[in-house]
This record gives sequence, structure tokens and C-alpha cells, in this order.
Amino acid sequence: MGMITPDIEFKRKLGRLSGARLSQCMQCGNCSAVCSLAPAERPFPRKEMLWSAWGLKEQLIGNADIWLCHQCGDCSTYCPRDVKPADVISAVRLQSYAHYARPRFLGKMLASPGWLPAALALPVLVIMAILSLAGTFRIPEGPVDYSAFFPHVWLNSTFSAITLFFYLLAFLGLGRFWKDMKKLNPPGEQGRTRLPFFKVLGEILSHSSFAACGSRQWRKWAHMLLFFGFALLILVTLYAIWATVSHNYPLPLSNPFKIAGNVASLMIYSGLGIMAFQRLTHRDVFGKSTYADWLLLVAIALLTLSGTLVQLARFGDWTVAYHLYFFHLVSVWFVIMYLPFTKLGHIFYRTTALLYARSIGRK
Amino acid sequence: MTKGVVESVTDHGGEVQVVVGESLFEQQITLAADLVVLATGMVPNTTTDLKLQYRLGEGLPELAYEFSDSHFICFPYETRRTGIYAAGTVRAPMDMEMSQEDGAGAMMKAIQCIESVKRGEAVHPRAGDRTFPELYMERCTDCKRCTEECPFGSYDETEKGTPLPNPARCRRCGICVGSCPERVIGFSDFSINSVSAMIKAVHVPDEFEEKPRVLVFVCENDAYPALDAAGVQRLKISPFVRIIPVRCLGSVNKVWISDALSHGYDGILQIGCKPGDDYQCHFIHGSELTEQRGENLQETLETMMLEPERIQTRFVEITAFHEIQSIINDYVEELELIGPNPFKDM
Repeated sequence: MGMITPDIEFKRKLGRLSGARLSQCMQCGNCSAVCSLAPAERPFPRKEMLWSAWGLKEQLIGNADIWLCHQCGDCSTYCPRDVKPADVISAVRLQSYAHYARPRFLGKMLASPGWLPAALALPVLVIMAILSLAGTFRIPEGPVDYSAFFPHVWLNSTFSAITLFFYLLAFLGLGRFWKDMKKLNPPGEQGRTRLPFFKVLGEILSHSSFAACGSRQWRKWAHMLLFFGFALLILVTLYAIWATVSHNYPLPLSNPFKIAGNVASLMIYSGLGIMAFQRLTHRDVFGKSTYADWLLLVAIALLTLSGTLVQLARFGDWTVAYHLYFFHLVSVWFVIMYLPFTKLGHIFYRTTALLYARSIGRK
Repeated sequence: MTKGVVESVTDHGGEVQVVVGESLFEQQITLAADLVVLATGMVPNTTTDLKLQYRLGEGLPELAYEFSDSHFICFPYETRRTGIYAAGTVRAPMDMEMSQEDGAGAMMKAIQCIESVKRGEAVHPRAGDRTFPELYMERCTDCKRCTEECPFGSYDETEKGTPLPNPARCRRCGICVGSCPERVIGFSDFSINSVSAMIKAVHVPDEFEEKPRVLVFVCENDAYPALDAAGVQRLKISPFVRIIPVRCLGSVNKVWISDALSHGYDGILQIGCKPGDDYQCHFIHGSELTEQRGENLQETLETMMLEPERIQTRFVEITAFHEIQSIINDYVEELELIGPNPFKDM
């Protein structure tokens, strides 16, 4: 490591995001001792707390360990100095999204509430532009038919293209993250194994790390509901895209995929409900809920809710159907296309970090 | 904030650079400092003016940085000279306030010692023990092993080398029991014969049963409580092992090992406290002696035409109950690869 040059600005930022007084940490190591996920060798979060207190940004952000943490909060509960290691690690993760984000301004835009109007304006303007290009930027007459408002060909092609574009940029960021991890957590003596895709997939699907977390086991169930609900909705969406291509769209309510979609939205509502309720009622033990936490919960809630309403509007022939549909499209953009820049980006970063950590035998 | 050992403070073109080693950063770090405050160093007093009548020297044995103490985790006040309690800057650098508190702590320990002596009992770690080493002097060959190996200087010696036991200094660790090649030292409840009888009382399955039998000597200070904790946690340990607790790994006599091997045990595992500079052995160098004696043991094995891997030693801390499970089970697995002891049924 050699010369240490503290990045005071980064330290302040972490302090602001986490609400922790980082200099209070006396490095007793209680946090690492109570953590049920910390590896035996070089356990977290003690070393991360040390690096945070010194503002060592590079050490922290390019470090796979911050993603091994599943935020049960035991370390914060048992911290004798009340430095809240769980919140600090969470703040470092939030910094990662902004750090690896390309284009940079999108990362910045989604990281602070001040930029929220701009973050909303972008999808609104782009969708308006697409509609104008398609020549359908008006409320269609007759019974509700969304394809008359936004033709399927236009919707499928533009939304897929924009999503792919953002994800491609995200993968470049993940590449740099991988390089940083290789530099900062070099493989030990036994070297690196082949990438354990299936093991990590199994770990994610089974939520085994959540289960291993010491306390707050409800988080496992809340995350499971949200995770599988979300996965199911993505499947349904892919099927819907295929259905628009094969021209048997829109689907009747009795279609199994339609039913699955509604079941999935119920799962998401319950998952989100548990999460929001816990965040609001257990502020003392849960730690600080940041803007990024709420942004994600609210965005997913609005996405699901507007989806449900859009469906009801179609069957009920509501007059506000197209306004709701427009709102739904904006929320889709917010959750799906902004994914790499928001807290939902953990899907990418955590999976990458888990792949790397497990491949060097760190668990 | 971080802590570490300052290795150098240098002028670097008008800037003060501090090099710190052994810090939590896991490597040497360099800091550009605005202000460096140097603490006043503290040099421990020499204790030779105590003029103790021990064959091992007139002062208290010294440890790192020449401070004197005994088992630094469990008995910080106890010196290696029974009945002498060190407090304050004699045992570690500290300020006035800490020294006062430390003095009170040492005083409490001294009171315990006086009370124990009054009842004729040992002080910690074997508090309440009323036995003393008994020597069958007729067979002693004056080899001086016991006088040299006793960590507490319990044995003075004549010019010829005959041990002169000093029971008041004894802490009942049994290292002399383990040291004696003539097997003349024993306690009434812990002797060569009593442990040998335990070893021989265990049924050893014959070679056709394909069940190994493993003897585990476990130090009663840390390893045995760790094993206990493993049991409470319901961690499964190989059913082929038989465990004999000993007062210290240093109290394991070579003859027990050869007894076990000739009785047909396939291997012997010894588990004790960590030796070295930061030792945790409750009797200072019992574990270290085990390592030294290990070389002699290998010779024994060679004369018996056995694989040296049959005898192994491991060190654990009292908290390492999950480690102790894998230590024992891995060893048994390794033994199964080596195959049965050829001395079975002989």
C-alpha cells in the first residue's frame, strides 16, 4: 500500500450517506466477530471500517467483500462505538454505482434527490420524441388499445435498443470493477478456479446468504418475494413481446401468462410492503434509510402499481388509460433502463463480486 | 485512527514521513504527518536484585520487551516464580492510574495464593489440587531433565545433578512427569501407571474389523474445554477416537506413546495450547517441549518401523471449538489412508 493519502472528501461523503461518525471507530473488530458471513481470512467489515475512516476510496470500491455483506445489521447492533458498519458498507456500495457508471452524468443524476426532476424528464422527453416520430402522439379514439397509442414495433425496438445500450455500458463498468477486484483481492495460493456460475446462481436463488445472516430473517422472505416476483414479471414481459410479434396480443385475462403476471405483482406488493414497513417502524435497528433505498422501493412500487392500473384501464375502458400507460412507460424506464445506476444495480455488481469472490475461494 | 509499530520517522524534503509496520492495513504504510508526537519510552527494571535462589536465575524470567509476566491472557499477574506477583510497570508499560489498579489486581491474586497455601492447595490454573509430584529416587539417574524442563524452577539440584524438589514452587503441571525418561515422577492421581492403564483399558478393534483406533491427548486448559464446547454444539467427532485429558501437553511421557502403539492404536494426536513468542500454553513452555520431544518420538517410530505421520501435534485456542472437530476428523481420515498399525494383535 505504501503511502497513504486520505481522501477526506470521500470520507465525508460516506459519513453523510451512512450517518456514521467514521472517526469514532476504534477498530475493535466486534463487527467482524459478530458477522455470520465474514470469511475467516481477512474478515469484513473491520478492514472496510479502517479504510473508510482513512477515506481510501480505491480500496473500498474495488473490493469484492462489500458485496458479500447482505446487510443484516448485526455489526451495527453490536458496535460499541455506534459507528454503524452496516450503513457504512451500504454507503460504499451506493458509491460504487456512481463510480462505475457510464455515462457518468447518469450515475450522478440518480444518486442525489436534487437531480430527480432531470432523471424523470429524460424518459418523458425521449418517449414523447419516439411517439412524435411514430406519429401517434395523441389520445386515440374508440375502445382502449395501447398499440394505437404506442405501436408495438416502435415500443419493442426502441425500448429494447435503449435497454441494451445502457446495459452494454454497465458491462464496461463491470469490466473495470473486475479488474479492480483482481488488483485488490488477488487470488491466494490455490489460484482461481473456473467461474462458478451455477454455484453463484444457486446461492442467489436459494437466498442462502440471507439465511446465514444472524438476525432479521424476514429480510430473506421479503427479498425472495420481490426477487421471484420480479423474475416472473420479466418472463411474462418476454412472452408478451413474443405475443405482440406473433399477433395474438393483447392477452385475455384468462391467459396463464396474464395470471402469472398478476400473481407476480401481488408477490412484489407483499415484498415491498414488508420492506417499507420495516424501514419505517424499525428505524433504530435497521439503520439509516437513504434516498437510494427509498428511490428503489418507490420506483418498483409505482412500476407495479401503474402496470396493474394499465391492465384494469384496458378491461374497464377508462378514459385515463393512455395517461396511465405513459406513466407506466416512464416507470419502466426508471426501473429497467436505469438499473445499472440505481440501487437495483446490485443485481449486476453483487453477482459479479460473488462470482469473483467464490472463484478465489472466498466465502 | 490506526495502531501499529512505528518503524521510522524521516524528513522527506520538509515533510515528516512516518513508516508504520504491523498495522491493521496488513502491510507497511507510510504517512505524511503534519505533527508527530513522540511518547516517552519506558525501559523495564531488571529483577535480578530479587536474588532468588533458583537454579534458573536470580530474577524473574523475561518476555517480550524484557517485561516479566506469565500466561498473559489468563494470569497476567502471575510470574513464573510461584508466589511472586508482578504489577504495574514491572510487567507492562502503564501510567500511574493503571498501575494502581494493576496493583490492586495483583494483591487480590496474592491473597488467593496465601489462602490456597494455608489449605495446602495449588493456585491456578490447577486451583485446589492437593497432590504433589512424588519421586521414586532409587531409580533416578540424575539426568537433570526434570530440573531443566520445569518452567517454575521447582527442582533445585545437587552438584551431581540429583533433583531436590521444592514443592512450594510447584504448579502441578506435570511437565516433570513427561520429562522423565526413567518414569520415576508421578502424582497420586496422575502418574505413568495410571495413564498407561487408561491406554491399555481401551478396546482396540483388530485389523479385520477395519476400524481404526486413535488416541488423543488433550490439554485440559484450553483444548479440552474447546472439545467440550464442540460437544455442546453437537459437532460430530469421529467415533474411532479415545480421549485422555492431560495436565499439559508437556506432561505426556514418551512411554505412553510407545505403550499405545504397541497396544495397537493406529495413531496418536496431541492437542494443546499455542507455543512460541505469543504462547498461550498455561505452563509457559509445555507445548514447546512437545515439539522438541517430537524429534525423539520420530526416532522411536523409526525403530518400530512406523510412519512418522502417525503421531501429530496440533495447537488450538479455547474458542476454536469448530476447528477442533475438523482437526480430529481430518487426522482420522489421514490415518485411514496410512492404513492399520502393524502391531495390532501382537
